[in-house]
Amino acid sequence: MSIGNHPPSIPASLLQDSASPLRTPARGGTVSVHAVQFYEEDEALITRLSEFVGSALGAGRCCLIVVTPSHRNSLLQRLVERDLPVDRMMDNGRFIVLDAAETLKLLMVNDWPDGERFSATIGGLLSQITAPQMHGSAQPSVFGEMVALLWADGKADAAIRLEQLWNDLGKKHFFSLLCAYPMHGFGRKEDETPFRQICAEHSSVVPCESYGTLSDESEKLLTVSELQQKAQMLQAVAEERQQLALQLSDEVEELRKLHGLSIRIMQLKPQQIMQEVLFAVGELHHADLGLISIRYPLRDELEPTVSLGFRPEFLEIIGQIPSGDDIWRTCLANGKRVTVEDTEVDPAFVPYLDASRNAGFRGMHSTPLMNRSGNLLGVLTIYFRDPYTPSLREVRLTDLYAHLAANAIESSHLLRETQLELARRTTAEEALRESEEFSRNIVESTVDCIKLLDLDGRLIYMSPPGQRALGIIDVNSVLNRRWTEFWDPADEERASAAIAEAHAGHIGHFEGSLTIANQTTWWDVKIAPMYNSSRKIARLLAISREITSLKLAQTALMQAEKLAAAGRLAATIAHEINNPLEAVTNFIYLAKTAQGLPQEVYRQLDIADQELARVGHIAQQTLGFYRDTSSPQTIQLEELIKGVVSIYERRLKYKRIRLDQQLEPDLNIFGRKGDLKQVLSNLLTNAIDASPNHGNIIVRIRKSTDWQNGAPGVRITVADSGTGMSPETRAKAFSAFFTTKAEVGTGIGLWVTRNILEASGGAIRCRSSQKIPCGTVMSMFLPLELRSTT
Amino acid sequence: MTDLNIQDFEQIIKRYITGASRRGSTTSSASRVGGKVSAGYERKVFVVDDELLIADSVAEILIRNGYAAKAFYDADEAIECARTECPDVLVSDVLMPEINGVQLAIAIRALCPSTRIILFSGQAATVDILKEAEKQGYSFELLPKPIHPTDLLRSLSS
Repeated sequence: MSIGNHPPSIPASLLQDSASPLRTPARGGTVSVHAVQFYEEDEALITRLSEFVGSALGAGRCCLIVVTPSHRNSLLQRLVERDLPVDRMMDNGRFIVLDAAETLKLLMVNDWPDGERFSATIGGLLSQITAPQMHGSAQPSVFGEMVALLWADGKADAAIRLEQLWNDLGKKHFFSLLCAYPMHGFGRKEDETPFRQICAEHSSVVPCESYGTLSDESEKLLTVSELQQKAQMLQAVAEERQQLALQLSDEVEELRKLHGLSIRIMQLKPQQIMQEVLFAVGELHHADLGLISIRYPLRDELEPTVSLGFRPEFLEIIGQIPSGDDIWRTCLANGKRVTVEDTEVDPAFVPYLDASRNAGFRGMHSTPLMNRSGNLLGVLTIYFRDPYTPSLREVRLTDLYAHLAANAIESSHLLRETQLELARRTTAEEALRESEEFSRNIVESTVDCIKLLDLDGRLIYMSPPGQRALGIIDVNSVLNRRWTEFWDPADEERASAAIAEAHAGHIGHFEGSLTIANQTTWWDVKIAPMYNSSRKIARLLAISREITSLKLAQTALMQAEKLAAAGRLAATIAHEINNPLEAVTNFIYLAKTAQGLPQEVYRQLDIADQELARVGHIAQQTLGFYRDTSSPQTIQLEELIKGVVSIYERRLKYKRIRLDQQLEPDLNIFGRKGDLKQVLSNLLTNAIDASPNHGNIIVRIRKSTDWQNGAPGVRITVADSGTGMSPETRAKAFSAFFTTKAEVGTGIGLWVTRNILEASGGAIRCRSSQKIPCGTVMSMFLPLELRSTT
Repeated sequence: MTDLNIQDFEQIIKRYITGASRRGSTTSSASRVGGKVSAGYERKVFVVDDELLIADSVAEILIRNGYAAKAFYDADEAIECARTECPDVLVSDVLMPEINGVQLAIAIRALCPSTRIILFSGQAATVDILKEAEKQGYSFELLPKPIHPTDLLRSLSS
């Protein structure tokens, strides 16, 4: 320490502080000084600094300051006001002004003050200004704010380190160092220790300006006492604050739990929610027992649902307490909480004293669980073994929990209702589906064809069985077409009439035939109107029953009846004809054999005789039911045919028809003469009738074999050169009652012929042409032995 | 025919025809022409038919052709006569009232076993009657009406 140039502005007391560890005997007895100045106002710092610098410069010493720009400006201004030639000094190098932040940057490596750099920069500077040419060994004054910056940045350790670096530098160079910190930077509790550490790094500590202005010792003592009292106060405040902080954190914790629960609720079932709520409330109050009861409005009862700590028997008792007009329910129904601090004491609780004693509680707190509309959904109650009074905070929190529970209950109710509704709907749907299924089954199973028509008579729907019956593969091909179109032309009108009936509100009915895909079917149809909900006819329902087989049977029956009737008629006629015929034949014969008959008369009688024979044959063949009752015999075909031909001699001559007989000789057949005669008669008659004048007829007999089984037999062919038959006629030629000879034909000739032939084991075929050469060929095959049938 | 009500037609015809039939409408003594019975070597033929005309005319034809034929108008008469003297041939209609031809035939067969019996009829139903008779062991010849006299004569001579 340089005693000689001791600046007067540094308080002497400070210099005499021996507690500083920095005091090192320097060469020539100089020791570095490291003082720290705390300041409240910048102004105070500037003042102090200007004194520090001013005195140094004034005394001819060098000065190095590391300052912030604002402080620098203020300082320079102050120095100028003191008429110090700062510019000149700066130029001379006696006054070095560094920017604190810039310099700090240079010194920091990885956010830590680097010793090497420090000694390089600051040390270098110091070497410079303590160089002998610079006013010798005069101890420079140094001011640094870098530590303050570090501290302000929160880098307490760095600041302390930097102070240490300064101290290290102080061992090598000798200077008077001043640091400064603004006091407001040390406002936190944790600053206490670093503060002391910083102070410890300095050789002297200068308190804030307020202390510095005090001069009087007693004043100083008073100030210290006041500060001590303030410290005490602050301590108390700090404690109180801590207390409050604890309370606050408790509160926050509670709210956090509440919040957590309200989020988790979304994943929990109502029952679980209520349990959690009860548990949380129980914990909050440190309750011994808890209970949530749900109110069922229909029964107006409170049913215990979730409990905590109760014995089951108690729950039963509680459950059986009938609802009545009591404070509890009244209060709760009004949305008010009920608190019984001590059951033994509270007069309102008297009726339930047994219960509380049984259950073992003396304090209880009930919170109503209400939904948004203010309906009481249930009650949450907590019980305490000892008398209990909840705090406001607990009550408030309990209310919040109660909301959660209320929501849970409400959603549970809603859920149940929804499920019931769903079940109801499902049941209804099931019933509907079954009913539809039932109807559809009926429609699709019944063989009747069920159709729906719109008011225009177009087909909207046809049931599957109907489609099948009609052979419809793609129903779309028939939908939307006029239903009357489907019917065969003869029945269209009746179909339309039936539809009209339905339109008029009656049931239309008709029978008709349909031809679809070349198949004709017969149907019995009933058409009924279908009314919609406004009692208007919206559609028509047509139900058709297939009667094809019935119709065919009816037709066949009618046909058979006709045949039978014809048969009976024929039989009657035959019977009646035969006798007179017989008589006439006999008498003609007798007349023919009379004595002395004139040739002419004989000839005439002969003709009469022939004609009568023909009548007989006609009677036989056209009345058809003649049966040859003689026994089968060997028939000489040649003779037979000649015989039949002779019957028709007259007619053949009359029409000038040439008959060509190509008869293989010695062909015999074993069978009934009458049958064969009838057959040949029929064919010959037809041939003659068909032939024009001068026509040709060929009758041929040949040996032959059955084309199908090779049996030996005879083929008889009767061919004419008549007009021939059309294909339609040919198709019907052998049908009963079909004739082309309207006035004389009975239509049974060929039918009988075929019957006889087929019954005998033979067959007949027919060829005909209407184009030149026209004519008809009837070809029959007879087995050698005609099958004898009855 | 298909448009007529067959049943009605049938009824009308039946009534008309049967109304106009021989019973009660025609009486003819022509049947008695030449009805003398020859004796001895000529074959005896009984001609039985409830139709007078037919019985008489057939008998006359047979007589003219050398048979000793006698006409009967009902079966009883014929049977009575057969008791006295058996005919060689019996020619009879089948469908007759009271006793039909088959019954007559059976009776005659009983009385005169060697008599040849020829039945004739215009009805197909006759066949069934005959079948019935066959079952009972009888067999008769059947000729269809109307039969031409020449056919009858040929049949008889065979």
